[in-house]
Parts: sequence; C-alpha cells; structure tokens
Amino acid sequence: MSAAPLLSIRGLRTVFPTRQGLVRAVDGVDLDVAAGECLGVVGESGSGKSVTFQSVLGLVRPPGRIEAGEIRFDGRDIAGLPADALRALRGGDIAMTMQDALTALNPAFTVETQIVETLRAHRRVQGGARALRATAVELLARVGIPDPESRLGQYPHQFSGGMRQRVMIAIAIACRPRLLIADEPTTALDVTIQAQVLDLLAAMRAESGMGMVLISHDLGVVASHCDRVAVMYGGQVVESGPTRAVIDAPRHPYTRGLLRSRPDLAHPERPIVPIGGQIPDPAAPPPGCRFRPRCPEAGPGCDAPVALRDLGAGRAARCVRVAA
Amino acid sequence: MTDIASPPLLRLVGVAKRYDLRRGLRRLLQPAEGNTVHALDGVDLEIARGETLGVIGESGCGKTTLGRVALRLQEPSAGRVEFDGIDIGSLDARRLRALRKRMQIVFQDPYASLNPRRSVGQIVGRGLALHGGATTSAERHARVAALLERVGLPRAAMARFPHQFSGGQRQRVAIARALAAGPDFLVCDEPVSALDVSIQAQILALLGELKRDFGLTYLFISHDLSVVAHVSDRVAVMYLGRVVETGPSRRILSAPAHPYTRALLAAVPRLDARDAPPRQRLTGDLPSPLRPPPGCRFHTRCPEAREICRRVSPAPIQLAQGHAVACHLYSGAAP
Repeated sequence: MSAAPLLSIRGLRTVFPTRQGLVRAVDGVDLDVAAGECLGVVGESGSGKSVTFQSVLGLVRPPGRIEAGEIRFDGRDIAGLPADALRALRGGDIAMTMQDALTALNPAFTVETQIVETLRAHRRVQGGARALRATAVELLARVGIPDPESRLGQYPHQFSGGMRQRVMIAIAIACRPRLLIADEPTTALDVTIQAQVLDLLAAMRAESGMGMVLISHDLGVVASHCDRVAVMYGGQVVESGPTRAVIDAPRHPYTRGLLRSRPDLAHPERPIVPIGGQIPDPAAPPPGCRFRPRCPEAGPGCDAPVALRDLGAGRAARCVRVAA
Repeated sequence: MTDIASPPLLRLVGVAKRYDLRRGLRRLLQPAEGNTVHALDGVDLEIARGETLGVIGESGCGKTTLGRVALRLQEPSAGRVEFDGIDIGSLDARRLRALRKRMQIVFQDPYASLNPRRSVGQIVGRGLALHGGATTSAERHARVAALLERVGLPRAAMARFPHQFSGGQRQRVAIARALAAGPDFLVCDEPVSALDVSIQAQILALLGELKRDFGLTYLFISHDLSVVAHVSDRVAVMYLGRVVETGPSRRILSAPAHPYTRALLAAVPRLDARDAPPRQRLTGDLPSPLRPPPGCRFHTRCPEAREICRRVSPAPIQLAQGHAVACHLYSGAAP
C-alpha cells in the first residue's frame, strides 16, 4: 500500500454517555480503505461496526460523540469538520446505504423526489428539471429496476424489499461517490434477492472504481465480495487481513470461534462449536482483552490491555498469544 | 417410510390456508380473487417420531403458517392435521388443550414472545400450571428452577424479568416455557434468526441436546438453509404456499432436484467460493401471494420453465426413497 489510502481511521473512540456509565462503542479503531478496494467489516451486535462508520459520516447522534482519533478522507482530517462541510461530503464523495431501506427512505415522497433531492444538493447535474429526471431514470435503470420511467413516480411502500434496497443504492451512487459504505445491505432480504443485490454492488464497484466498505454480521457475505476483512469485537478491531488468508488461517481466537460456530453448507456433518458466554456489557467491558471471558485460549497476560499488532503480509491481530 | 407399526407423529394431508382480506360489506362487493392470500395450498407432509423436519423457504412461502396450522393455532381452510393418529381439527377446546401439552412452539422473536410484565419464574411456571405438571407452589418452584438450569440459565433468573436478559437468554427462557408442558413435539419457528452468530450456535446446540434427552420431534422452520441442513434429518422446501421438494437433508444438499432448491443453494454465501455450485441466479421478485401464478408457482422465475409449467401445476414425483419433487422436468423420469 504505497499510495495514501482513500479512508484512514486511526485511534477512533466514539462514546455514548448512558445511565450505566460511559459506553465506549468504538474504542481505538484503526482501519484503512484504499481506492477501488472492498473492505469487509464483520462483527456481532455491539461490536461497534456500524458506529465506526456513522462516526466517519458525522452521523453520531448527541449526546454520543467522537472522543478521540483521526478520520482522514483523501488525506484530509474530517473528524472535527463543521456540520455544513460534513453535509457537503455526505452523499457526495462518501455515501452510505442503511440496513433497512424502508426506514431509510422517506415514505411521504416519491422515489423521484428523493433521488433528485440528492442530485440537487450536490449540484452534480447540469441543466433543469428535465435533466435531473433523466439522470434519475438512468440511475434506476443502472441498479436493475425494470420499467424505471414509471417506477420513478412511485412511493417506497410500492416497492418490494429487494427493489427498495436498489432504490437506496441508486440514491447512494447518484453523485458518483468515491467511497460507498454499505451497512448490512442484504440482512433484511431473502437469500435469492440478497445474491442479486450483492452482485449489483460488485458490478457498481467494478464499473466506477469506487472504494467500498461492506458491513455485515455474516462472514460468508464478506468472503465472496471483499478483498480485505476486519473482524470487530467489543468496539475494537481484533483481526484484519486479506479475506482469504483470514478465513483459511484465522489468527485471533474470536475469528476462529466465529468460523466454528457457523453452520457450513459444504460440510453439514462438521459439528458447530458455539462460543460460550455472552457478548460483554458495553458499559463495563472486561479489562484487558475484551474477548478474554469467552476465550477458550485465555491465560496469564490476557488481563492486560492488548494492541492490534502487525503480523506481516498485511495481517494484524489483537491477541497476546499470537506470535508475529 | 410409514408402516402400520410406527405411524408418523404428525401428518398433514392436503392442508390449505387462505386469508380473506376483505372485511364486512367488501366481502359482497369485491371478488375473492385478488383479495385472498394463498398462504398454504395442498400441503402434504409427514414427520416421524424422533425426527427433525426442516422447512425452508423465503418470506411469504407459508412456512410460518404451516407451523401454526400444525398446532391448530390457526384453523386450516382445507385438509387435515393428524397428531399421533388423532385428527386435531375434530377436537373440542378442552381436548385440544389437553393435547397441547404434547405440542409446543418456540417463536422467532424472544423480545415479543415473552410477557414483559411477568417474571421468568411466572412465565415458565404458567406452562407447568396450565398443564397440571406441579400441584404445590414449592413443587412448582423446584420444577421451574430445574427447567431453567436445564436450558443453561441460573436459578436466580426466576426472579428477573425478560428485559434483563439478552436475546439468546430470552430464547432459553422461551425454550424452558415450551418444555414446561412436557411436550414430545416442538415447532421451532426461526428460533435463531434474531440472534448473533455466536449465540445462534449456542441455541442450536441446546436444541440438539434437548432433542436427545427428551426424545423430542421437531418441525424446524427457517429461511437459512445452512441452519436447516445442519439440524434436520429431512428437509421440505416451500415456495409460495406449496412444498416443491422433500428429501433427506444430505440428499437435498448433494442432489437438489427442483430448480428453486438449486437456486437457493447457489445463493447462499459461502466461505469458500470453490464450494459453491455453479451460479444459477434467479431474476425477478417473489410473485404476490395474493395473485399466485397459475401452473407451477415458480415458473415466473424458473430458468428452465417450459410451456406446460405455465398451465399445469406439477404433482410430486418420487425420485428416490423419501425424495420427492414437484416439477415437470421429472415427469418423464419417474422410476
């Protein structure tokens, strides 16, 4: 990685004050996304995967706040950017699709209004209403919505789940973003529709050369679509590296646990081995390694804080028992 | 498969379930066609004692309705449900309640299926009380504690309320409640779909242990083929209210016959792309169950649809022992 990455996150800490105390939803996250690359971010609920990228886009709702860290997009630190500068970035150079298209889209406006609104806000199309409408039709056609001319005037509820997800992707790519963040883009969809949407995202990326972050709870989704993967647990990245290498030879015990607890269609006879215990309480994470209470390999030394260490070959793990 | 010595524990014969969406006067003014949801249409299934039958399908395929009709939580519009040789449609409320001891259900959403105002002890204890499992309160207390421990929760959980538990723990409570009645048949309707991967594996392991220890029979409903294949002895694949293929799990995975089953298998994201069967991407969306297509319901998305598929609904064809498919591709190839 010689050139500066498109997105670079260093030491990001995002906190939410709650009655139970300060929740460090994201606690010391380092991540890089190169231009044209797809980074998969995998984790269970509470791992901080979504909050990390909400922080990137300035979408963390007060009283939540970014407490520390650096977020560089194209070399520029955007962590402390004022609201209007962030607004110019969002939907323009960086776009995000949400998990649930039904809540992300406004039910009171037609799809046309919502696409055109984005195009207008970023002044990416020359010309008047007709040119904007033509661009909107073109966008719907590109995401594979049949009969885009007549669909344009419809409301979100008139679309099926898969089609709504496509509409949201159309809005996200409307301004040709250089980075697309897809937060669980297929979780709410049936498996045959999920395959269609993932193929569409891959095609969009190949076509435009944009960088992409695919956030998912499913290693399988990430395995087939991402160059690199970052596994998150308890607000931290516990392992990262080239996807194939991480899946074939995981270095962190949590990654191994995730892989073993997943039923595998190719090997239905292989027993699944659950990870014992519960996901840690975010208001009172265990000291030292966050995974220690559930880790079958935990031993002395695991109760001290551990950093994400470089293992060479583009790989890193946050575990004291892994030798470089 | 079925001989007189060991009849199936559950048998569905030609079961249909239709929901009429018209209310009041609209029943007179509007046609039934286009206003009726065809949730189940001519479903025949059998579950042997001690077996796990997995039901797989996408949203709207009728799998949840199937689970509810199997327990007579909903009345079928047509057809018959037999449990242990008894036609459960013929039972009056009192006898049905007595039979329900033996048939229980675990729902998908452990946030919605537990009463937030009752303690865990009350929730599980009510199952015992309703089905006359324990008479004195001390006895009931001990039984509830034992049940909770069996599903991996501490005794102290009794005094706490559902909101104090995580999703996985709540699902354990729901399982304990189902077990309280002492059932031999359990419908599991997407029991792990709302859970994180590492927790999902815990619940699947628990269900496996309970099946062994209590000799349970499961109807296991899920949209996730990897989960279904892992837990089931046999699998039934549903599409728009019909069963399109049934067979032993291994065989469904290794030799899927119906084009829909093949597409489902190909669509599952794999850890290793080399494991994936050749791509057979389906185009288009699921048709509306309000207006299911005529003939084979899958013909609008089927890559191999022919003329006959648009007109004639295919009958199930036996391909091998216990493996049946409803598809015209095989109508000339019956053994």
